[in-house]
Parts: sequence; structure tokens; C-alpha cells
Amino acid sequence: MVLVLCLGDLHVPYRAIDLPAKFKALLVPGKIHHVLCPGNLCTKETLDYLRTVCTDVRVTKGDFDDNPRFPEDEVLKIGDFRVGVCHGHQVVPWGDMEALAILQRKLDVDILVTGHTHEFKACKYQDRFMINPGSATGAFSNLARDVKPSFVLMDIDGAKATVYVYELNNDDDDVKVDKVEFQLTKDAEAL
Amino acid sequence: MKNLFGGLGLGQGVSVQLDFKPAEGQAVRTATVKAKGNETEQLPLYTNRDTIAGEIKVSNVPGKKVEHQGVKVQLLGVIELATERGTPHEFLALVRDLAPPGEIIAPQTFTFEFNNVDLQYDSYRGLQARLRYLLRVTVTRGYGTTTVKDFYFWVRNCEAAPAEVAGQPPIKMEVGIEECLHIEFEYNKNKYSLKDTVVGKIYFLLVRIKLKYMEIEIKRRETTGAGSAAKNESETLAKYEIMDGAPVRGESIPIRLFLSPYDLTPTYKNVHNKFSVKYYLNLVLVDEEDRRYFKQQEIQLYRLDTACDAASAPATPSLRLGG
Amino acid sequence: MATLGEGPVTPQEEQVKWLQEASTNVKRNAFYMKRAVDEDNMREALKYSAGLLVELRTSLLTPQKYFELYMQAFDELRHLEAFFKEHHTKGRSYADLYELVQHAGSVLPRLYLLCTVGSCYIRSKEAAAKEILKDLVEMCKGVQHPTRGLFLRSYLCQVSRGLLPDAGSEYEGEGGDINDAIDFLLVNFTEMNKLWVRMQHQGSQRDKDRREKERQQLADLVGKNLTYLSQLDGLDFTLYKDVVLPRIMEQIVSCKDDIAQQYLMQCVIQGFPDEFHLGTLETLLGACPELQSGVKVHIILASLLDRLARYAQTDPSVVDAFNKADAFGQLNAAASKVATQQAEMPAADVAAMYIALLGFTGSVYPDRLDSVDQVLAATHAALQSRATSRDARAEKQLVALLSIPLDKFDVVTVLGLNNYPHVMGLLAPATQKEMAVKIVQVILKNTTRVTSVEKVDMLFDFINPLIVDVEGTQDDTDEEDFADEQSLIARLIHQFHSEDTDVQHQILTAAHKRFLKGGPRRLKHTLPPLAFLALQTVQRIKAREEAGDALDSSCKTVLQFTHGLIAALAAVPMAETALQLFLAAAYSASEVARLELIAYEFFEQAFILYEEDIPDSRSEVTALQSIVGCLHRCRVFSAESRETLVHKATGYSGKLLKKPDQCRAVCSCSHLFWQDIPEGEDAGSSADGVQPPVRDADAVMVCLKRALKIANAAQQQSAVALKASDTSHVCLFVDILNHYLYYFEQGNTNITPSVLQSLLELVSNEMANDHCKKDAALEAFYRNTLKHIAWQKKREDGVGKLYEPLQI
Repeated sequence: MVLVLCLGDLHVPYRAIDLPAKFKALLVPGKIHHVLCPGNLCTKETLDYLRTVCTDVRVTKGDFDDNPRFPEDEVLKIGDFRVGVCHGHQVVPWGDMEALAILQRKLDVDILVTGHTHEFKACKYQDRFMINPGSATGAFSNLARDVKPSFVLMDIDGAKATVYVYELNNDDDDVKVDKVEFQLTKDAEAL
Repeated sequence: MKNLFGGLGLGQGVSVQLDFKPAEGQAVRTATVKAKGNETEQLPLYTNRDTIAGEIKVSNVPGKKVEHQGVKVQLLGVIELATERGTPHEFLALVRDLAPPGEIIAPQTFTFEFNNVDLQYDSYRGLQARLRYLLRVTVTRGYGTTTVKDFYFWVRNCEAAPAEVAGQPPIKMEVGIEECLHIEFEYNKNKYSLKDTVVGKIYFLLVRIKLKYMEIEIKRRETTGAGSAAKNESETLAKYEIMDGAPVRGESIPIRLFLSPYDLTPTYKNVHNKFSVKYYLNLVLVDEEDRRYFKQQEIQLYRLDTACDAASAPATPSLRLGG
Repeated sequence: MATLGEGPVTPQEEQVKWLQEASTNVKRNAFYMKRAVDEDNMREALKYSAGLLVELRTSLLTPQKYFELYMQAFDELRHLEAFFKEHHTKGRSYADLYELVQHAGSVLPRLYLLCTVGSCYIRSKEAAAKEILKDLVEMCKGVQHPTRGLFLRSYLCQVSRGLLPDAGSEYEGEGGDINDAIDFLLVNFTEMNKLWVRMQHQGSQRDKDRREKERQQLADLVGKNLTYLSQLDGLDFTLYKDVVLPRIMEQIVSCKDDIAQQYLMQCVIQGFPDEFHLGTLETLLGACPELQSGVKVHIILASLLDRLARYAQTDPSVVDAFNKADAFGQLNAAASKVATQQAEMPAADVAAMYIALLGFTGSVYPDRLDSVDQVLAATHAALQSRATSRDARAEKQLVALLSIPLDKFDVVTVLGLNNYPHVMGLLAPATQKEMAVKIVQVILKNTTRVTSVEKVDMLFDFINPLIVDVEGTQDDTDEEDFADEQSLIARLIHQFHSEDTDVQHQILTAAHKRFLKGGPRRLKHTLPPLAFLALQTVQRIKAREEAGDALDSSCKTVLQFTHGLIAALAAVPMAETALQLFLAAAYSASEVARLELIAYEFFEQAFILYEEDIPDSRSEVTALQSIVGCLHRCRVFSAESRETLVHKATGYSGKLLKKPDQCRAVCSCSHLFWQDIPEGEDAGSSADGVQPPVRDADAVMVCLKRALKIANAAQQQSAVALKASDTSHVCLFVDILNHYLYYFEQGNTNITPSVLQSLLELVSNEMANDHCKKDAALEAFYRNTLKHIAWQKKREDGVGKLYEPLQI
């Protein structure tokens, strides 16, 4: 059982003060095995914070990140899954499923984590899975209205991934959790 | 054990024993008296105007007849001064003849009685003066074989409590060394009975030296002789620490000194023109360099009537605890 | 040469040795004492108990070691006490024993014995408790040596515990009353304190530190009297106020000793009940200015205030009582008096004192900002004359002081207090900056919103050291700290918020004006967030415009304002961020405000930056991706303007340095001719300044064919370079294949199954190459693409039908 935290588009300090306190309270150090951030942290401070939550933090380059060490995309193996991370501003049209699917095929990943749209999304595409954790700080974006802070926690157990989505309602400061499950089917491999 | 006073006059052919017997309406009391060193002895105790009575037993060696020129008993009061060694002064001499000349074939018992004896002085054992009372039994025989046997007894006289006790002036005095030490001390009375307690206090007006401790000594001074021939001898009978450490200005230290544990006598003035005994309280302050500062103050001691009455009980043991 | 085993050399070893010797003597005497007890010999028992007590006359031991010895003797005396009781049951009177022990010639042992008998005497009730207590407390004066006296009196205190004629006690009545109990403890306290204070003046100056340490160790012996006093059941407020406190305070003040005053004031404050303190504030506070200059009055006041504050929280009626007693006024006055009278009191301590007062005010009167202001005024008055700016400790305390109201009250309101800036003005420039950081941090932590231009201006006044260079503050700041500070300011900007968008615009303008004074180093950090806030405002204005509100600030004016911001940022220079911001602004202008000209202008600006200021090829790729992505979504442009912009963008893609980048960029650009049709919209519809989605199948094909050409060229290039192992062009082919499939599915009619089929064959041939087979990533990409086709073929909808003719 491996816990993977996916969160992105924090945009601190350009568009947001910080992660919501409610989220920080949930992110207890020592529980999470991997942090996947599709990009737009944007400061080192935020990266340092994520490293206190978990030592393995993977960040890909967002359109507002100026850290030259962040790669465009990254792939890693977690459980039976190949997981790919990419910010997504490189993929035109932005947020387009079919266009992202090309990237997914190229990276050869079972789960693709992207960001950029500030809209949470977790869905199945063919026998694969796509996740957009939204903006963890609820940062302002022209692409979306009334952004709610959200992030995703994946619990990967062999070939099974349970995806928990945490969303903060700005009005009543309440965290809502949704659950999506995804089972890896390898039979398509037989082709 | 009372009948064992006196030794056995063996070798002289006669032994003499004396037994003090109570006179009518009068108990034989005893006094514990300090002897040489730390030893004590017990002596029969009398007071002025007492009747002194008893039995004297004169024994021969069984089977040996003893001839004598008479048996008598004397009651003597003597003052012995160290300065007049060997020539005791008799201030009292009474005699009773017990038997006319004759012979003693078997042990013989005589009773005697001195009525209403004038025992005006207290017995006293000091460093250079002694005042003693004794009964001397003499079995007179010719040619240096006369048997003389002394039996000592003790006399204590009491005073009525001084009428002015309640209104007695306390001793109060300010003493000191200029710019160094000023104290005021106070003893509640100048006249104390032997069972009394000296109560007082020391008030420090100025302290510029580092004191280590303070104590009160009870001193006794004997004076013998008179005028230019007068001789004084002092003796410290008690040391009683009343303060530990260095006080500062304004402190007052309490004094409470019980006199009963100490071997004291009343103050004697000019006893038979031979000697005097005086008592002093000596306040001693000792500083850290062991320098001593002291102030001596005479107090009158007297024996209270009740003390006399209580004398039949064993005297309070002298308790000196600690250092 | 030193020889071993010479005996103790260090003071510690000496202490151990001395204690051991004394302890051995105590044990030996105790042994004989107990034997005498067994033999029922009072005289001997007293002799040996005095013998063991004589060991307590030592002057060699430190208080700690002396305490060990004392405890040992204490335990042994309990045997003697039992023996006294035994004798008493056999008929011996305590009066007799009480006298008997006083025959001891040595004063210290005598008094220990006297206390021991005395306690039994009281317990037997053969004498009135008050008489014995009075006698004991008086007789103990015989020991004037500080340590020995303190322990002796502590012994007295201990053995008489529970024997005082306290109210309700069995010794009350004939044994005396509460007044006697109080008197006993007060006298003992006074005597002990005198002894304790005296220690200070003994020995040489050289040993002062050691002596003071030893005194601290003895403090609790003295304090115990006060504890016992406070525990008396009969001690009511009147007695406390009229008898106990005046006598304690008299002693504390008159002893003129720093250590004693410090400790005993604390004892009084901690020892007696809250309501007593409230009723005697005047006395307590009145003593404060009388204390020695070395006494840390602020600590004393702080603990008093702390107690009172906690008391106030127990019960709302307490606060009424506080008001009635004018507690705040009294405390404030006392603090001022202390500060005035103790001219040598360090500034830091004065500040600490006011910190305590402020803390008190905050918790007792949580809604009384005027009190806070009063304290600040008093602080300012007290510290004005003391040079705080060169005193690091004072500065630190002042920062702490200024931070208190920030945490307790609304930050912006606190900053508005008259005296807040005065106190802050006492700080050195560097500390003012530190304070500024703190203010910002608190605002961020509490997410306090700054809601008007006036408040923003005021806040800027406070945090000015962070906004502009202030003399005396730059030197010590390194680049990273500076970045952290500016990051704080950047975050702070998000707290500037007015519900009224007109005000919001004014706030933005005011902030911008301030930020411009900070120079490029700061603008780099402050302008981007301000720009985003501006764009957010545009969104809000649009919503209000749609709702029909009459507004001063329109989307246009705010966008123009934003333009200025981004232009300034570009001049910093920060071309990449500025470019991204221009794109974001362009998007706002197009998709939010629907202002074509402005959107066009923003794109133009982005293009200028792209052409002139993007430093390297990788940045170019990124910038171009954003340009294409953004432009793809914009629907405000007329065909003509759009053509110009698209033309430029596609032009850029061909000019990228590397063939693969060119190829992929051209693929992306194909999308510029193929916009999404939003749900509920028909192709070809337009409304409200929105142009219909562009769907130009031919232009898409042109792009894709160009991409193929570039891929071919890349292939030629690597062939020329004899890099047979290079498979990158094959990857491009697979990429392009995927784009073909994308448009195929999207219904681009130019892409027919046969076109696809031939492309598939081309790729398949390339993939047959050995080098390609070895390239696992490429293999996977290709395999996944085929799998995708297979998957789509299986679909039962239109897409499945579309794919039917395709052969893999």
C-alpha cells in the first residue's frame, strides 16, 4: 500500500497566500510515500514545505515555474502502475482529453497526472486513468471560475488504485472527500 | 547503709561506729555533696537549731578487754583556710561525756543528743576555704592509744524569700568598646535563689566586630583574710552559650539560665570574719580571632526556704549537655 | 610531581568528605542516643542527642550539603520525640522536660531540643500553644549564624506545623487564636529573612557569585513561612489586609536586598489568593517602586498580572470587581511609577513590564482597544528617555510587545491606534523591518483583509522598510532573506480586498504606486501578484457589469492598468514572466472582457517580448507553447486580426532551433485552425463579441504536412550526420500519426482512412528498423498508438465506424 499525494498549481505567492490550513492539517508528515506535483509551485518555500511532508517530491515544470531543474515530464513506477506527471500547458488544446491521451501514450503510463486548468478531474480513458488534482490553493485562473482548493491522494495497492479527492469549500471552510477506484487491466497487453 | 559511717578502729583495739538518729519530730535528711574530682558523698543534713542525736557503738576485739579513761562525743564547727594550713579554727565546740573511765568487755552502745544547736553557718567546701561540722568521738586511753573518730555532717540554712523580691531592681547596663561594640545587657534581678532562673537579654547597639559566639559564665570568688592580707580565688562553675554566630545592630538575644543544675551555694559574707563567697555572672563575647570581651556582674545568691524543705529529695543531678 | 591519593583537592570533594565525617558522628551519637532510649535513661539520651546536634554547628558545608545533614538529624530527633512522649505517659510533665533540655550548655543543640520538646508540649495541651510558640520563636534568636539559624527556624516551622492555634484547630481557645498563629509565623518569617539577607554581607566580594547561588538555594526555607501563612484557615481578607500583608511588605521593603525582594514578592503573589490581591493592589503595587534597583520589577509585575488575568477568566463577575477597583488604572500607574523612579531600570525590563500589562489588558478586556492604546502610550513615555535602539535586548522586547495586540485584535485596527506607530518608531531601522515582517506574517496567518485605500496606505507606512530601501537596513540582508521578505509582501497583496471593485481598483493603484518606489529588485516579486489580482478584479467587474451595476472602474481601465504593471515588469527585466502575464491578460481581455483591441495589444506585447527578450531556445519553446495554447482559446478576434496573430505564431514555430521542436510546435499550431465547439453552441454561431470557432480543415492539413516535412528533414539530417542509431525522427512520425488520428476522430474530412493507412505503413516501416526496436520508449509509444486504434475500432459508436476501414 503506497500513498501518493498529487497536488499542483499552487501559485504561491503570485496568486495565493498559502495552502489552506485545513489541508496542511491533513498532510501529516511521514504518511505519504510520494508527492507528485505537475507544476506551478512557484516558490522554493512551497517546495521546502512539500519536502517536510514527504522526502520524495517530483515536480514538473509549470508555465510559471522558473526552476530550470524541473523536467517537462516525469514517469515513475508505483505498485503495478506506470504514473506520468506533466503540467499540461504544453498540450494544445489545454485540458483536452484526446490531446492528453496522446501524451499518455507517448509516456506509456497507466495514470497521467496533469494540471494547468485549475479544475479537478479524475477519469478513466480507455483502460487508463487521468487525474488533474486542480489547484491546491484555489489559485485564481482565467481558465476557470471560482476555483476551489483541491488535491488528490492516491492509495496504490498492487494493481488497484483508490483515488481520494479532497476539495475545500471556500464558503463554509469544509473539506469534502470523494473516492474513485481504478483497477489496472493488463489483458489488452495480449494484442 | 547509714550505720556504716565511720571506720573500724582495728589495731587500736577499739572500733567506733556512729549512727545519726532522728530526733523527735525530725527526719534524718541527707545531702549529696561534691567530693574530690567528680565523686560525691552523702552526708547527714542539718539546719540551725536542729537537735543532733544518735547512737555510738564502741566495740572491742572479741575476747580482748579494753580499758579506757572515758568516752566522749564533741560537736565541732571548724573553718579551715588554705592560708592557715593545719590550724583549723573552731567556732563551735560542744561536748557530751558518754562514759566514765572503765573497761569494755563487750560492745557497748551510747546514745547522745545535742539540743537546739547553734549551726549558724552553712557547711562549705571551696578552693581555699572550708567550713565543716563534725561529731568527734574520743575513747581516751593512755600512752597514745587514744581512739579519736570524726563523723562529718552537713549544714544548710535557708533564708526566707527576700521581702523585696518582686520589686527587685534588674541589673541593666550599657557597656562597650568605642566605635567597636556597644551592648546593653539586662538581668531581671540582682538576687537569685539557688533554684532560680536568670532571665535577661543582650541588646546590640553597635557591632563592628565579627562575633563568633557569646556565653554566660557563673563565677565564684572566695576571699580570705581581710584588708591588705585579703586573698581572692576565682573559679568558673558554669559556661552557658547563649548566642551562636554574629549578630547585627539592633538584635536582641534572650538569656534564660537555669541555676539549679550547678553546684552553687548562697553568697556568704564574712563568715566568722574568716572568708567570703561571692557569685558573678560573666558575659563573654568571643570574636572570630578568638579575642574575648567580657563583663562581670555580681549577683546575690540565697537559699530559699522551700529549697530546704525539698532537700530530702535527691538534689537535681548536675546536667551539662553538649560542649 | 603530584602524587596520587593525597586526599580531596576540589571543593566538591572536600564537601563530600566533610559531610561524611559529620554524618558519621551523627550516626554514632544517634546510636548511643537510641541505646539510652532503650535503657530508659533520659539523661544519656539528651546527652547524645545534643552530641549529634552539635554536628549542625559546622560552618564548612554548603547549604545543599548542610541540608542533607539537617535531614539526617531531623530523622534521628523523631526517636527522641517518641521517647519524650513515652516519658510523658509515665507521668513526667512536659514543663519539666522543657526545662531539662534547656540545661544544655550549647545553644544550637539546646534550641533544637527545645523545639522538639516544645512541639510535644503543645500537643499535650499542658500549656497554651501560643505561650510555647512565642517562647520558641523568641529563644531561637540565640542563633545568629545565617545558615544555622535558617535551618533551626525552618525546623521550628516544621515541627510546629499543625500545632498553631489556627481557627478551627484543636489548639484554638486556651491555646490562643488566629492572631497568635499569624504572629508566630510572621515573627519567624521576619527573623529568617533578616538572617537570609545578612548572608549577602558576609565574606569577601570575590565569593559574591557563590554566595548568591547559595542564597537562592535557601530561599524556600524563608518562603515556607509565607506558604504556611497562606494555608491558615483563619486567615480572612481583613486579617490579610490589615495585619499580614503590611507586615510582610514592611519586611520586604525594609530589608533592601535584591534577592530577597525578588523572591518574596513572587512568594506573596503566588502564595495568596487572587481576591486578596485584587483587594490589596494598592499595597502591592505601592511597594514596587520602593524595591531595590537590582530587582526585576517587571518579572514581579508580570506574575501578578498573569495571576489576575487568569483570575478574571474564572468568572465574569471578577471583571466587574476589577473595574470597581480600577485595576487597570492602578496597574498602569504603578508601571509608570516604577519606570520613572527606577531610572536605572534597563529598557528591556521596562518593555517586559509593559508586555505583561498588555497581556493582562488583552485577556481581561479583550474588547478594550483604548486600554491597549493607553499601554502603548505609557510604554512610549517610559522608553523615550531610554536609548532602546542600540539595546538589542530592549529591541527584542519591544518587538514582542508590539506583537501582542497583533495576535489578540484585528491587525489593521491595532495599527490604527494612535500610539502604535510611536512605539514602533522607537525601534532601530533594522528592527522596524523585523517588526514589519511580523505584521505581515500575522496578517497572513489570520487572513485579515485590508479593505480600503486608507488602510492599505497605513499598512504600507508600517511595512515601509520592506517596500523601499531604508538607510541602515540593506547591509545585513542577503539575497535569500530578501527574496523571503518580498515573497511575504507578494502574499500580502492577496489580502487587499474590497467588495467594491471601484475601491479595489483604487487599492491596486495605491499599492502599485508604493511598489514602484521599491526598485526593480522588489518589483520582480511584487508586480506579478498585483497583476493577477488586477486580472481577478477584471473578472469581478465583468460579473458586476453583467449584473448591471454602475461602476467607475471598467474592465478596460483595469486592463490598461494591468498593461502598465506588466510593462514595468518587462523592464525589470523579467521577460518570461512578463510574457506569460501578457498572455494571461490577453486571455482576460478576450475571454472575460471581450475587448478585442486590448487583447490584440497584449498579444502584440507578448510577441515583442518573444522576439526580443527570450534568452534561450528552451525558453522559446515554453513561451511558444503558452502563446499557442492561449491563442487557441481566444475567440474575440476577427478573422483578420486572428490571421495576423496565428501567422506570427506559426512563423515562430518554424524558426525554433531544433527540428523536433519545430515539428512539434507546428503540430501544436495546427490547433490554431481548429477550435473547440463549446457545448450548446453551433459551429458558426457568434454572439456578444465572440467569433464563431475556427474549423479550417485545409489549414490544419497544411500544418500537419509541414510537420511531416520537418520530420523528413530531421531524418535526412541524422542520415547525413551518419547517426543511424538516432530514432528521434521516428518518434516525430509517431507524434504526427497521433495528431492525424486526433483530427480523424474530430471529423477533419481531409484525413481519410487511406491517408491514414499510408502514414501507418510509413511509420510501421520505420519501426521495423532495428534501432527503433531497441528504443523501448518509442516502441511503447508506437504500440500504444496501435492499441488506441484497436480500441477505437472496437467502439460501437460513430468513432468505431470511422475506424473500421483502417488496417493495422
